[in-house]
Amino acid sequence: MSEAHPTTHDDAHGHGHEQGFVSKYIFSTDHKVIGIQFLVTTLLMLMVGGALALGVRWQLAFPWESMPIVGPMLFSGDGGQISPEFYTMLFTMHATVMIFLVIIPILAGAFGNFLIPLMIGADDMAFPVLNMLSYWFMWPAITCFFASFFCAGNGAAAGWTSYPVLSAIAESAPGSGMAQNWWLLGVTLVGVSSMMGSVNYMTTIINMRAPGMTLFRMPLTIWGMFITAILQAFALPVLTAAGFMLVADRLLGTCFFIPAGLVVNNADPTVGGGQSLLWQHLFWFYSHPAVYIMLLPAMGMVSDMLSAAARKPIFGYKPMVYSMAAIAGLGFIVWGHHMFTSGMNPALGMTFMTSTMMIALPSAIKTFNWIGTIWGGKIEFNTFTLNSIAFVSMFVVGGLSGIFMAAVPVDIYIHDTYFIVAHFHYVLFGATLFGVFGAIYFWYPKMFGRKMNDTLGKWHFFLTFLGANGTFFPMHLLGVAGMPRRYANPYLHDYLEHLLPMNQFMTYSAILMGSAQFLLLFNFAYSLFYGEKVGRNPWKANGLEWTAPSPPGHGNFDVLPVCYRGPYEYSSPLVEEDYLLQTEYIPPEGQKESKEEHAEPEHA
Amino acid sequence: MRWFWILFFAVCPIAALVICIIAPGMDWWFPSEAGSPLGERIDSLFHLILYIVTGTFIGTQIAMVFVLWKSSKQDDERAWFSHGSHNLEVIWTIVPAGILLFIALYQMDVWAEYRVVSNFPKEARRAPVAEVMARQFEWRIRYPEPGRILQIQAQPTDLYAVNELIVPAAKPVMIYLKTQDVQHSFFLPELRVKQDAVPGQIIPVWFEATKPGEYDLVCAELCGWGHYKMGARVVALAEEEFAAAMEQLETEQSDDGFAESGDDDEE
Amino acid sequence: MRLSSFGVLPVSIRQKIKLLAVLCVGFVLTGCDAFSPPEAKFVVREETTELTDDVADSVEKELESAFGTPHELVAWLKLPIDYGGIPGATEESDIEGPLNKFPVAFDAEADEVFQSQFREEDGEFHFGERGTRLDWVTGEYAGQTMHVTGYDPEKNFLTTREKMEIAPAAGDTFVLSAGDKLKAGRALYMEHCMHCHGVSGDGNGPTAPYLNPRPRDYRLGQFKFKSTKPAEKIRRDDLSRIIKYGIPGTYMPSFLLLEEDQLLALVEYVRWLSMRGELEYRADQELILASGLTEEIIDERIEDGDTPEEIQEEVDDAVAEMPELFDGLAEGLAESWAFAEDEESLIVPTVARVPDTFESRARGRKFFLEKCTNCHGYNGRGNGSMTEDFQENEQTKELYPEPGLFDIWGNPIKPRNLTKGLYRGGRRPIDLYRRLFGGIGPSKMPNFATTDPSTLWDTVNYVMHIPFEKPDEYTEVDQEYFEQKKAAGGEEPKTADRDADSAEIKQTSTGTTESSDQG
Repeated sequence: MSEAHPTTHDDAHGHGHEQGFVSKYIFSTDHKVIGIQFLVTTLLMLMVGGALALGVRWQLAFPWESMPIVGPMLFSGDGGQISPEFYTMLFTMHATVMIFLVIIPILAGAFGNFLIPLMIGADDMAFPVLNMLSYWFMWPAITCFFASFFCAGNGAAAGWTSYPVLSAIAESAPGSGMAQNWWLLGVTLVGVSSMMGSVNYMTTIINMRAPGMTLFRMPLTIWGMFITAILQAFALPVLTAAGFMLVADRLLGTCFFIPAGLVVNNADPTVGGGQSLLWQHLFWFYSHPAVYIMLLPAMGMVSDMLSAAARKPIFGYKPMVYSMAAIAGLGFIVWGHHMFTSGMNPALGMTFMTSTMMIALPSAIKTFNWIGTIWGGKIEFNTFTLNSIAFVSMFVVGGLSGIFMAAVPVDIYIHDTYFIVAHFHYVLFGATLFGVFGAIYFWYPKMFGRKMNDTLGKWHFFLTFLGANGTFFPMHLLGVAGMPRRYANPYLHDYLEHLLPMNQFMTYSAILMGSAQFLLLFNFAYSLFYGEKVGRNPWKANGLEWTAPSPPGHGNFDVLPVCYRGPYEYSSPLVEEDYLLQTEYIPPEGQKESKEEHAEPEHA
Repeated sequence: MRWFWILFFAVCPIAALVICIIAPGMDWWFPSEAGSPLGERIDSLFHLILYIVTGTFIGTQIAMVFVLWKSSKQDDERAWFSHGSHNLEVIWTIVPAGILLFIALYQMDVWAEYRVVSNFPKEARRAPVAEVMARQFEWRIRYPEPGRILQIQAQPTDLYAVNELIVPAAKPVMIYLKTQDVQHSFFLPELRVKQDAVPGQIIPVWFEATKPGEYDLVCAELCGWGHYKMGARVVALAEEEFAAAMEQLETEQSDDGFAESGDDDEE
Repeated sequence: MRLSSFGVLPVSIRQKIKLLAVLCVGFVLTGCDAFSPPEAKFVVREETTELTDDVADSVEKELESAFGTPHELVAWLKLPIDYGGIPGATEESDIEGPLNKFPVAFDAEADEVFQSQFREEDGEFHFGERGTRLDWVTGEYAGQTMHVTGYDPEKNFLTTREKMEIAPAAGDTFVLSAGDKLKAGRALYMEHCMHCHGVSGDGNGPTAPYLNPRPRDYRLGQFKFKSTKPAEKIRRDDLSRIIKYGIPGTYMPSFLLLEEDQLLALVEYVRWLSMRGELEYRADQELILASGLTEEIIDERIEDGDTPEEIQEEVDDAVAEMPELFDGLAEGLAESWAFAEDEESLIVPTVARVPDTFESRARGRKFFLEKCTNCHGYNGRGNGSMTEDFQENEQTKELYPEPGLFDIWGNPIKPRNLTKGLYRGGRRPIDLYRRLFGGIGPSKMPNFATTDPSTLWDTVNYVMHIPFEKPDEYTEVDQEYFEQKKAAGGEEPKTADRDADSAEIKQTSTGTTESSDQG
């Protein structure tokens, strides 16, 4: 614990205040600066990913009609009609950007970095330089992904899942040439960045908690980040290894994933002896836990926000922690549900179905607990509250639709249809991004010392919520109607023709949703300069971070925080106010012990 | 504003519910009645889950709107200082667990029938109808000559077709599914059949079209830029018609252009 | 050949399509105008751009007036294209003065189309919100376009949106919804074909660079898989067969699910594109080879002492004669395309297929050894000696930089590997017979039109059996053949090559299995 001590801190970082601009704001080792760097970068990437998604939606609503901007620029001779491989690129890169450059880094990178030391009462991360590198490894990754746009085929186009043989043989698709190499390199670099982060978070959370901050006094955000870090650390090496194997298949002539005798694009038959299902197993062994990597931190943050919003302790703190752990544990043994129709051993199908059904249980428990948290609270509808409620509301839909695809026979029908697309957008957009939006409004004052504009925030929420539901809810129906994913022109098939008007409605909703995000960006930038100035604890919340100045200076806390209780003691009868900071010492009745004595023994 | 937001969170789920209720009437539902016995069972499982899920959805949304309404009242009362309820936690762990386990176990039969080869209908297993080979971006089909059994290796007498798979109706049929290049997926929406064609594997798939008719066959696994193009049809014919169709295919395939003096190009 | 301000072009009307009107069809892509979608363009041939500017402009202008743009198609009646539309004529009428209705009559065939196209389920006739276009061919209003808004089935009265001062005379002809077939073809082409074959049919759509073999460039008017005699054009039937069943072994997929009328429309549009391309190609050839009007040649001539005035005069002459040049070329073109549809140009075997016995195949094998091994190789693996030699480019008379065979589009090609059982032009015996009889002109496979038909059938039998050949099945036949050859004083057979080839096939045939043989 000595690292956390303010005096040691001053010795170690005594020169901190003389830093130049570059080392202070660009190559900074301060976790807060890195967190904000991550936040700004990922918000920009969110716009890029959103633009790609709008491209997809445009084609689905107005198939083969000139796509705005892109059509005149790239396909002017063809009357602005995009090419089919351009469409496959659009959804591939949309998913890639959103998953690897937005959701994972915004949760772990932005909020993980900013919140972990503050919430556990540490002055910085355990490995500040590693932390800086984790951010700066994002940029080579972003560069790689963007480089792939300028290769043949305008970008990788084998889907974000990159199933071989499509992704393994350059001839099999226009985007499977150099673009796919850049893509794989990008994914590897993102992996390196995430790995650096997760090692750092685990070490920090285990070793650098403030005195009195026991594991079960940690806010659920920290639990979410902690479990996520563990998931990353265990799952990511598998993806990286699989990625290297795929690169070897592509560049070194190995055949891990390429079976013999395939004739692709009229080339000579392949000579392999590989098995393309191997990739699916390895990929989903990472990517299913990755779904929880993209969800658990948001669940944690929403728990914190809901509790603060309801002025009430979180309902069932320990069940919340245990269910997160259960999700993480079960998350490792459900990857096969992505492969029910892949022709793997049917017995595995049954096993994965059972484990997948079971993973719905902790999610259900969490939902009930969130409702329980609001129950009997004193809620006020400000922006972060609304976003948190939206999180719960949409997570319910996303969770329940998951049950359909967990059931193997039903999955036979809905697999790879829009039902799946609806499901994961409800979870990743509906749940995670609303959680993130809420978190931005909630912790913004701590980051910059000013509040974001509440009216703009509510408008942003209102439009986004409507737009998101308008875009994603009809996808369930498209799925039930049998519309497969990743079709550049589904209306080619008679049985899908009548779905065009619905797709057009969805596209209008998506445009609404996309435009609403400019409100967020504007609000974010505007409030930096003109937002209402606030003190240390604008929301009257309990966590350690609210005892630090806003924004916290170098080293975070002016005095070493000592933690006396859990973070959710809202409306405690012990005090008059409706909140009770974790650091506030209240001598038990009838006893007159000193602070120090009380604090010492709690953690070992 | 309080009422606005409470209503907002109430109206959205109601709208979702209403859309789901009117969806079948608006033709936003399954492309048709399930055309196969297994498909019917899949549909009934779908509906079972749908009812359970809808119940849960309504329950949670009502609970949420209710607690929002209760807890947003503007009075001076303090929030209820409670850390949770052990009993409640136990209840809402055990009840969903039971339901989920029930759903899982209840599905096993259909799955076993659909995928476990030893459970395939014997008559289908004995005489596979055709080999369906997916390639970028079409379905190439190879039938055995009428009266012969389909071999894994191509035979001189085999009959070939593209994008049209003819099968006998009202009886289970089995095909061998494979791919020439990348991964594809054999998807018959009306019959509720889907099976990936995995590179390097020959996968037996069985299905039964209850009624004669034409059914869509599409690809459901991203297979490159022309993924959406892979439309084909499965034609289910009554037994005699099926035999006749095979005969006709055989005649067409052995056409030497001699007899009909020139108009042999008409199909 | 000049466009009037209505985009209508009076021409000499061919016998077969005498009732068709000339039209200029506008097509506006629907969608948001605010983003001003670019217009699709026909690509200009490279040869055209080599011409001196005035001539090149004139060629382009001439092409545009004859064919229009992808947005605005023009029907040029010189060409044997079925542009679509329902021909009809006016009847005697007693209505006088300004009127907007008149009695009409359709012949039986047209009437059927008319009924099916405009009569809805409610029994009423519907012509769309803006009416259906009607082009007058002869009479008072010849060359004008009107819009039909209604039809009275009892009196056979057509109602138009436009008011007419005087009634059309009885027997005046018109075409209803002229050009709809070509328009339908264009729409389908832009949806299904354009990504590979390009807007102009130059085989260079956005996806084309990634495909092997390259998509067909229609603009030479040449196709590989046709059922017509060696020098003839492709038939409608052949195109529709290719579209319907695809070309196995290439990226040309099967469009079996297109409906019959869609298929026909598509075929018509492809023929139209092909004729457009061929016309441009021929005009360029004429202007380059006969008149020498490229920038390059002109520069040389000026260096050699010709005055610019002289040359300008030639250029002006060429520009002035451009319409005649196009007319002349189009006539020849029209004739050859029309003749392809004639029974006479179809390859019909004069003998029925010889029964597929070993003896027949052995005879076929001998023919194969005689004629085919240079390209298709000793075992039919498509690795004959020609694939390793340097070939001469017929146009430039230079050797290609790479060894191997090239087609007339300049793409490298491989002779078919016949062991795979993959026949791009179709796998029926008649298809293979036609390949042998007619050859594959564009890829330089020679034709055997003069060979005895039963020998061709023997060869067909042999070729169809290659994928199922047992090891050493034809060893004796081969020996016999080579002995005969030797006795006749032919060259020593290259046994060493032969053995190496056989060893190779055995090795790979054990290594690769099912996936390589297919339909």
